Amino acid sequence: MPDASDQEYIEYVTARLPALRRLAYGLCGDRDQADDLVQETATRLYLRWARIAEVEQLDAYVRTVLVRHFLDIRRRGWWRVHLFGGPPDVRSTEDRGAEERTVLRDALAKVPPRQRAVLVLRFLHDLPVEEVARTLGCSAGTVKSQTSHGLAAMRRLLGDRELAGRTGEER
Amino acid sequence: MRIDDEQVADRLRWLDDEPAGPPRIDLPGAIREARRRRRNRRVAAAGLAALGVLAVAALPAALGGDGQAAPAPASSPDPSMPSPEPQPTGLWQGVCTATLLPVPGDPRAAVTGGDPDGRWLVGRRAPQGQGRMDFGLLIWEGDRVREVELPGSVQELKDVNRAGLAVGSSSASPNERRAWAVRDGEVIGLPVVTSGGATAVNDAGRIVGYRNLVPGKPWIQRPVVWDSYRSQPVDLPLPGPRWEGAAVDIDEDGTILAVMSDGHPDKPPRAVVWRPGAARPEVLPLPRVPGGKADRFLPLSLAGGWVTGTAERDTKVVPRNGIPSYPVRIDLRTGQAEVLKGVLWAGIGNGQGWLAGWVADDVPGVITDTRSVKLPVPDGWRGDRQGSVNSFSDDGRVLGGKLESEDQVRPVRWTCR
Repeated sequence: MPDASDQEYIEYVTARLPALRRLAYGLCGDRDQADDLVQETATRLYLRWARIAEVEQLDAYVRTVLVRHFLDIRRRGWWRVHLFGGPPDVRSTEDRGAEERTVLRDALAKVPPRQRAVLVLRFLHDLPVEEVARTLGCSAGTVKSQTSHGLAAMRRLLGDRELAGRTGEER
Repeated sequence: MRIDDEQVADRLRWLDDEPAGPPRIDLPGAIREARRRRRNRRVAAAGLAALGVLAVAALPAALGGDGQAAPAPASSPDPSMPSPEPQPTGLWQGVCTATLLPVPGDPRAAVTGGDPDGRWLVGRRAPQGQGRMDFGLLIWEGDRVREVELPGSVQELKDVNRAGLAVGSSSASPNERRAWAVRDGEVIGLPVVTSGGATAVNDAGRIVGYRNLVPGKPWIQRPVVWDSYRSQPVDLPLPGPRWEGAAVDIDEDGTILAVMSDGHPDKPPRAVVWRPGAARPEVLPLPRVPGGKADRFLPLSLAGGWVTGTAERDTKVVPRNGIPSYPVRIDLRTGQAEVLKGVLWAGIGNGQGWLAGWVADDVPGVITDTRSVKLPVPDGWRGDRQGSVNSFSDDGRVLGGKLESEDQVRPVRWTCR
């Protein structure tokens, strides 16, 4: 049955997959769960595809669907067991930054989901405060305060002293 | 941010990597699952929806049916041409029938626009060719159909006037659009400055659309108007230096409607109108919807002095079905905005300020100022009643769109009395 609109959907999502997986991975820190998140986002997007054909900022819309679904399942909590049950993914043992990333990802996974979403969108995806606010459905002020709380949590989790020392070595 | 905050933020950027290994994303699976959910929702909603429609239908219709607001066309259709069928007159009762439009060969196609009388409909076939990006175009005059080929790919006709002059666009390359007019089957390239597209035409033959400002960034657009298909496009004056967007409709009196945002592409879409003779454009205020002022207003159409579109208001808690999309009409004579009953996703408005599109659970329907009506499927149609509406005559009696079910997509004309 694939019609024009299905074809456009498949082409759009295929092109966006790397960015969506990166976002999902940033949010949940686990490859399998990231793919689950993207799969669900793709399903929800299809449900609305014809309606949103005229949406001006489609990329922003899809990002919003993904982030809100992430927050939704976190709120309901049934996923949390998996998230904290195992170690976060290690990308590659040959990657010299792998250990560092593991530590960072581990810390990020312990930041409350909403603050984590703010940190990921602002610093991993370089979105402006206004857009993060739209994505999360809150005010710009809330994004700023969540950023500050999220960064404070990260500092706490990483250890202020360690952070300062390592950053100094690498620069 | 404090220095150590910046250090944390810097470190976070290291995490911007894709997960290792091949993705497990299964797009055909996503489509199957979405369809399954849609079917389940429909079964659950059917009982309630039927009750709702009955209750609304019992209200008396307050409006006369032929409040045609548009002035006489400047370029009249040839009176010797056959009209598709006698148009019903009298009070609009919202009793509609569906007819599948003829398509030569492969019957999969959809209606993408129509004229204010519903005599002309334009559409396109399901795509063919490599990457399935090549769309054959169709123009129906009543039940007669004509095939049209536009150069390039992702071809589309968006509008047609009462004289049968159709406009649209196609892609010359992935980032470059070309604007076209089609008259009596003849394809005419519109003069363009750079890349651009045509979105609407009125009976005087004025055409509106957009041009792209930056090569390779097709989303940065500027609204333009062509006085006729022979004229060079003229940039419309902007509401402010950083505004960008596209003109989407032109009324019979020459008023132009655009969807624009203020500079940053993340700013919400706003409706902007240029009235004939006015020196400056007007940015229409965001309408009020249940709960307060809307955060977004996406204008769909301008006809008979009515700007119609959908408005959304962000909420702290997002309902399971998403933020409601309210049908709104703004009377340009008074500036008054009115939220009509129901919800509506993508669709189109007409010259009475009514809307048609995707109402309730993916079902095509009409929302007038007094009632909402779901549009039927033709006799013998098998499967779902999913569809969309892309053409809505000023008298509310002829609509064009498509119906879809599991294995088919067909162009449809609905006739209402």
